[in-house]
Amino acid sequence: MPSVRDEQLLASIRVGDRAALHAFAELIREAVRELEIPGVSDARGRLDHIVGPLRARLLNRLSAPDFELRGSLRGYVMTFVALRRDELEPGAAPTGLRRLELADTDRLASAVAVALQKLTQSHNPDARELAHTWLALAEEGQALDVRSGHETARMLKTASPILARKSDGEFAGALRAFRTMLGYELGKLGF
Amino acid sequence: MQANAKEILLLAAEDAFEFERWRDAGPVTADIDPETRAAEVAEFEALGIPLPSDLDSLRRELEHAPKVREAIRCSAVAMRRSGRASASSLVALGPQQLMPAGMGMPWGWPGGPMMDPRLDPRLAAQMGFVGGAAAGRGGGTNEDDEPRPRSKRERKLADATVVGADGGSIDAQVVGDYDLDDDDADLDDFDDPEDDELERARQREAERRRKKRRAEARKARAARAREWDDDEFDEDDGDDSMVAVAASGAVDRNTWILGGVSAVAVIALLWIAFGDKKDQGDPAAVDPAAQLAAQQEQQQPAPPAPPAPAAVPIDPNTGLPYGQVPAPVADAPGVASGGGGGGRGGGGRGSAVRGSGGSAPAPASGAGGGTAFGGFKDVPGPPGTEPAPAANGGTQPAANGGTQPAANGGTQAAANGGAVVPAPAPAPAPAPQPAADTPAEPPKPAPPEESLLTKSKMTPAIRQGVTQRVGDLLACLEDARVGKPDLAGNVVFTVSLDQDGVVTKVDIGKDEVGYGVAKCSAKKMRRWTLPSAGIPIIFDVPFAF
Repeated sequence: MPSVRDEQLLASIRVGDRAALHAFAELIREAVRELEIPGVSDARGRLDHIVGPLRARLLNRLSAPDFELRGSLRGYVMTFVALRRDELEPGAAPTGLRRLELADTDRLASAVAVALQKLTQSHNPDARELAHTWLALAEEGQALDVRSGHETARMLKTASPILARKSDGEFAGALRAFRTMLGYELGKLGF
Repeated sequence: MQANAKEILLLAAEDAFEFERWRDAGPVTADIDPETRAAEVAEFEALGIPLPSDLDSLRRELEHAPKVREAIRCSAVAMRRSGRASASSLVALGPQQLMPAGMGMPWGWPGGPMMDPRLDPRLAAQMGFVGGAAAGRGGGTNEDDEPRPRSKRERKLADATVVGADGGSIDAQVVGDYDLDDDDADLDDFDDPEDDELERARQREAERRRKKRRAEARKARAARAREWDDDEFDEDDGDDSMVAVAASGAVDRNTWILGGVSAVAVIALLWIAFGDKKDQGDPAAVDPAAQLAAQQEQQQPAPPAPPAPAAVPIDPNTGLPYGQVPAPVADAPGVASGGGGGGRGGGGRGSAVRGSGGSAPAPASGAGGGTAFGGFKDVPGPPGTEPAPAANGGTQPAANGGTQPAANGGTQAAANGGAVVPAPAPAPAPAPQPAADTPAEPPKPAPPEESLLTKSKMTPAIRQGVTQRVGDLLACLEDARVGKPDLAGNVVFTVSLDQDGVVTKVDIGKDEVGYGVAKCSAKKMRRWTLPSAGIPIIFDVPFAF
């Protein structure tokens, strides 16, 4: 349960309060400094080139409709940055969303379409169903009120009658398998 | 490919890429946001507080993923090092969850696991009270157990907020040992509670000795004070509370500040009472030549009475020739408070302090009339500012006889011939004293200048100045529009400017907007300084918000 102050700050950030956004950036900057990421935390300067994209990603995450803060905002920011420290370290292999950022979006979207088409032929029925549903959503061009792939994956459950009948555990297992396969296929395509 | 489809496909890629770090973790289900749970776990880890059972099982599964495990560890270490972990998550916990199993502390709970000793003693005390009287290990628990103060070697790890069963919350600090090289017994709080008890007993003994010394010193001071106490009616001589409030040897800074402020106030009052007298002065000091002439005139025999100015009839009510304007009203307060001419040359600047000062040096050498005010009467002044016969003066002003101008009536002056004869009470024009026999017009304070002003139009310069400052007022409107976006309406302010262009008063004439916009705007306008019109003016400023 977050504190009242965290809730207030989160609400201010969500509505775009400038002071709150500034405080949020300071929070990220402190996290980057305290996490002792080699080549980043010991660098001089305001680290705007690191804090800025992180803030954008965090804001995208915070503004999601179903985002719920459980601990403190500082703890969340700290863990968020710590989970992506391999993306921040200079010279490290591109992982996670850095693969996404480094990639050409048009090519990546085409590659995802190819991978999804391939997954529709998978032996795993859950992966097949998920790939079909995802492609259907993309073809419909439906305006999804989602900010992340995580949310989109949750939406898949309501978009498919087969997936909707699954329990949470079954759906989570299916999603795990599907994500792994998709990542693997995208890796094979050079991403 | 549609743009929206592209975004959805990119979301699939994002989901797959993001999943990489969670790939080895177990329960990354659709309903659990793994990042928020990982953050929660890291916070508990930073505080060194055992996790709730559900979160603990989740942590075990999340930490199957090496990246997640590393991230939680790094976050916990960073938050612990900076002391910025916040245990707001503790609110969701019952107090039982705070007790790691097998940990024994004197103030712990009966029979069960004890509290993490790194938590702040205040928290420990509170938790001990919540749990009831504790039967500690080894008989170490006493009711007068004092909370262990944080030693210098410890540093705060984090703040915590715990909500008790009664709804009240207490703040606590999680502390840890700072200097690991120190071989003091403070380091092994966990392992050696007996040493801790000994240390606390030592502290209690020292505190008891200090209190005893203080009490003895207090009694000694009380005895000294009683020697000086001659008050028979003082029944509480045995009570040394009076001595306790006596100034101690070591005066703290607040006392110095208060003393300094008092001294400055006393000096200011003295300056007002006596220093200002030099500025105003009594009339005798103002015009020594006139005073000297008056004294000479008093001491020499009275000259023959001047011919009565029969040609100029005297108004008995005012004591002035008919047709002469009575004294200006503005001088009346000065005369009244001056008690003897303090406001004579003041022109309405008289004050009680000055008045009393002015009457003090009144010459007492009135040989002719024996009046203390004899010297003042000959000082020329405006006809309306003749000194009023004060209450203590009574009929004495008339004793001067010939020196008194026509106020007393020429015939009387001629008849008296300078002799001390009780004369009828004069009736000077501005007789503000109630002792005056004749009915006199009560003094009226001068009306304020602004009330005489009428509204005028803004000068072009003032209008321009107002226009330049409209941004201040729009800020008020914008602030109010946060709560009510459709705020609009007209507001009319009545602004008073002094001759320098400084806004002295802002009234709200009309307010159609509400929501405090007009009030906020008026507050801001009171700080304005507009182009001067050369004179004080009042004008309306209409605004259409």
